[in-house]
Amino acid sequence: MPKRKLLKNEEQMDNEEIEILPEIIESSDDEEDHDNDTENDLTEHGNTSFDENDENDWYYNHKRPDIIPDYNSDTSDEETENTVGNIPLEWYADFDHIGYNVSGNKILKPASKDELDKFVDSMDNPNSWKTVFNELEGKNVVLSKGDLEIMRRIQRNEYPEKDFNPFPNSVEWFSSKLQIHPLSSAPEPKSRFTPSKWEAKKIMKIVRAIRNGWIKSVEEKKEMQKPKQYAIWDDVKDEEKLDKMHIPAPKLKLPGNNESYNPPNEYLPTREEEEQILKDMEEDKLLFVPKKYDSLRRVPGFERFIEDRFDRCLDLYLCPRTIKKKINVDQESLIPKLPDPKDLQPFPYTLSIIYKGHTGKVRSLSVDPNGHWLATGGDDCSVRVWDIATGRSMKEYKFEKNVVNVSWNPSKSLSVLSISVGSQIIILNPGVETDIVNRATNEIFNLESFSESKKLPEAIWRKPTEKEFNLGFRVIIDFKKTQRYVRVYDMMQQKLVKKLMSGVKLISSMDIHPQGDNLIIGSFDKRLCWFDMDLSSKAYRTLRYHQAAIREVKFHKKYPLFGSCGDDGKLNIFHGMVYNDLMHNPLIVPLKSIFVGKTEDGLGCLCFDFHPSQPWVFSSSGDCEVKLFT
Amino acid sequence: MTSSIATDPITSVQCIFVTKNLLYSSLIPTNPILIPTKLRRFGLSEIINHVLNLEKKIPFDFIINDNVLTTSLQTYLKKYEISNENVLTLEFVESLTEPKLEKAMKSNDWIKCIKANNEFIATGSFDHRTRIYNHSGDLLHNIEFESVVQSLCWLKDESGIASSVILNGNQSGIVECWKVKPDEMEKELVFFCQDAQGAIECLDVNFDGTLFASASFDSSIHIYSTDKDDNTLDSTLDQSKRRKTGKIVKKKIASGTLKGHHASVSSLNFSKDQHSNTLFSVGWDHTVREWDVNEESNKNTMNCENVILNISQSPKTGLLATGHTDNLVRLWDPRVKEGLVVKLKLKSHSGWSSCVSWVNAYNLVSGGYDGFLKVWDIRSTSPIYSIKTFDNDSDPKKIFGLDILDQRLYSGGEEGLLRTYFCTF
Repeated sequence: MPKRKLLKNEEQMDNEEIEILPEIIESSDDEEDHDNDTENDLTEHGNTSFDENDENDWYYNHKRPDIIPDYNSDTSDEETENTVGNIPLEWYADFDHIGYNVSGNKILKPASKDELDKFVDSMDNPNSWKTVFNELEGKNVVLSKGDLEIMRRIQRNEYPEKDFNPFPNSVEWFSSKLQIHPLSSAPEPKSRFTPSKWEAKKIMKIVRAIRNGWIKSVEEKKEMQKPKQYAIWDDVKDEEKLDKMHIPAPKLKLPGNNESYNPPNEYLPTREEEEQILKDMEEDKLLFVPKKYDSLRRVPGFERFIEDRFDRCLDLYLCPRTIKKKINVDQESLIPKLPDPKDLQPFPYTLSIIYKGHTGKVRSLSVDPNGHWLATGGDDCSVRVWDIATGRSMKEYKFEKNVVNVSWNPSKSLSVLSISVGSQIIILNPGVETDIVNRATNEIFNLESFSESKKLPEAIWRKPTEKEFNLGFRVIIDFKKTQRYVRVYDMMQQKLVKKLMSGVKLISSMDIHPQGDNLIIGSFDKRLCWFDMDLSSKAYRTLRYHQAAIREVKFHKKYPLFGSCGDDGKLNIFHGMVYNDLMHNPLIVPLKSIFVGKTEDGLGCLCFDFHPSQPWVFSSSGDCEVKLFT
Repeated sequence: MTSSIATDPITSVQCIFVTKNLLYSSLIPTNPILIPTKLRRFGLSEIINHVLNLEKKIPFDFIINDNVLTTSLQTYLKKYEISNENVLTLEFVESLTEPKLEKAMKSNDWIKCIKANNEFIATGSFDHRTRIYNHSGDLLHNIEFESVVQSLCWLKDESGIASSVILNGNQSGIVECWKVKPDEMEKELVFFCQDAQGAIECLDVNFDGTLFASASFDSSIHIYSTDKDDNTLDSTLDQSKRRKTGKIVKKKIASGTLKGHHASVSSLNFSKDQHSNTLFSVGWDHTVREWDVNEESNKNTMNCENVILNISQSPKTGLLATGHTDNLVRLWDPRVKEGLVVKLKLKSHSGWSSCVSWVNAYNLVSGGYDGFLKVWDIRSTSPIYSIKTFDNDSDPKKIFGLDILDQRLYSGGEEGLLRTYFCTF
């Protein structure tokens, strides 16, 4: 038979059934009848008549009720006559009944048929091939067409129910498309609009846990899971972190070779050393004498054990109990920002000319106000006048005593040099200037007026002898007592204006800034103090750049420069800018430290002077020379 | 041998030789010659001598792009990153030979200044004397003054050649004009000037010899006419103790005064231009000033950072060379009114460069407080020759004055020797 599509009509199904169940082929006639029956059944399906056939009745009785898909839909609820329930039926094997009906009456066992009866039955009954014995009921049940159909479908691995659609069209109730109508017409509940109290409580609980660190973030957890490592070799910092208040006990000195019971021979004291040690021991400096024992067993008890322990306890007890806090300040940031010396040029930095000729130390030097001549005087009892530009010694004056000071008259139209020698001051005209200037200078001294009137008890003014006059001497003043007095007068107001606190011990020299309000002081205790008169009576800045006493400090008259020279043979040049507006403090920048010459007898650079118009500096050195730096 | 050639390949470059010297310019071929780059000045000079077929060998210097070749061609090409496929144009000039010391005449004291003309050499020294020699080295005259002779200047004749009239400026601010005669021992004070308030630092006479100027330490410049009778008074040099003759001498009054410098005027130089009466002066106020002498006005002021000690103007190019206390020699272009006026700084002296003098358009000589005379070619920044004027074991002796005349270089200073060098300028 050709295979045709399943589920088209009943006939086809039946034909196939025959193939599957070959033992029933004989009863094909019945089948055909049955087919007819079923056709009728189908026609009558809509009706409610159950008259036709008992089997059909059963079928329809069992098939009828709609299976409501709830927990009651269980086959165990199918109505059976026997009410024993789902128990093994062997339990009733020895009884003559098999159970009870609804009303409690026994249901008697059906009479058992012998094999012959069964055979006859099977031969007679055309439905015997579809008759099944229901042990629970104790009855034979003829399977209906529907049952067979189900069995057949199960055999073919199909869904038992014919009309079951395993792939129903899904209805997309919830889709991406916005529907006009809501799924539910119920009004939004109030809870949607009110903050949930319980949620809030729950969140607060989590928050508290997070705050207290009970809950950890993923990263923290990961961190926790990592094996913890301890840097055992640099644990000092960690310890500090862990316990800031921990003060480590003072450490014991580790034992050395001295303390060994069997020290090498070189550690054993000689006899003299031993005496010394014993002496120290009396003074409680040392506790033992190193000794050699040939075995540990022979080492005696430590005699001064208690003292030793007591010292240790003292150490522990007296160790400082405060933590000194170190202030972490970047040292660079403390240094004030100063301009680069290169930007502050010009200033003297290189040796240009050496004025050679003096045979002793140069004590004093002075540059004439025009910047043409340099006068120097020193320990060789001579004063020299030099041509600055060529380095030529133009004049030399010899005296009997050391020359202490030389100084030019600041007037540019005169040429007057004053020299202090011993207890004399000599004022002279060196005669190096032009005739016009020389004449003007000489005229001043030709005036007779000063000769008598300016006599003071301390000083005797006298005119030079003719010989001295020809040398250029104009006035000689002999002092008698001035070693003791220095008198300073305030010319205008005749009173003390200000007292400046320098904080230094011995002031060696002083100079006033050309503009007047600033003052520098050099002292023998190596310090240079800058005073700003407007600012305070204390030093605005103290500069310590010398290794030995400062001999002289000076300002440059034109350039913002000042300098200091000292016994360390150094000449330090500074930039000292004074601003006209009062808002700016003076700017002081160290520019150059010039090593003038080696020191002799502890005396280095004794004096220096700036050129009046050029950024040049003249300095004397320890080796009897005067040097010009440009 | 082959391997050495392989490792050291001889590279060569094409060169064209040119010259401005008319003697050689017709002889030299104009087509490029292939020349090995390892050659230096000497090798190149040999080639030129060979090409020119000169009987007597003459050393040459080579100039590429206004730079004097001091290294080998290879290092030059490397330095300026020129490929040796280019054709180089080499200008060759007869090189200056190193100045040779001819004479060293002893003077009693330090020499402050030297001036030479066709007949005489005059030196002013610190012992207040001016000594006048002839060119064979004989001391002709010895004029004594009352202070250091700071500056000397020979006046010019009408004929423009040698004159026997010399100006002496001394430290007491007096300029004395003396007439000397070459044969006899006679000398005569023509006139004197006493306008300056400070020492006379420098004297110079203008191109046509009609004016002279004196620079003074008191920052003024005085202009005088050279005519001996012009603008004079009868006076006596009363200050002079040595000349008590009381002879009446003419005193010349300044025809003009140039004021503008703030500090000492250290040197001055009349423009070498025949038609302009321009004067350049330098001073301790760090300025170079250009003056119009006729109008007595300051035409231009150029500044630098340091004291200027000496100035010299190139007679051919008009460039100014100045010596400074920062040991440099600076070159200035006086035509530039704005921007960078200092064209070149020549750095080699280790002391103040006290005197400078131009030789020709490219060469100049400077003397310094370090005791060295340096010959420069402005096309290279290092000196061609450094001449030491003191012994090895002694301290440097300052040089104060130098002068150049007719292939002779005269110098003097602290050493007290008038040195005469022969050179091929």
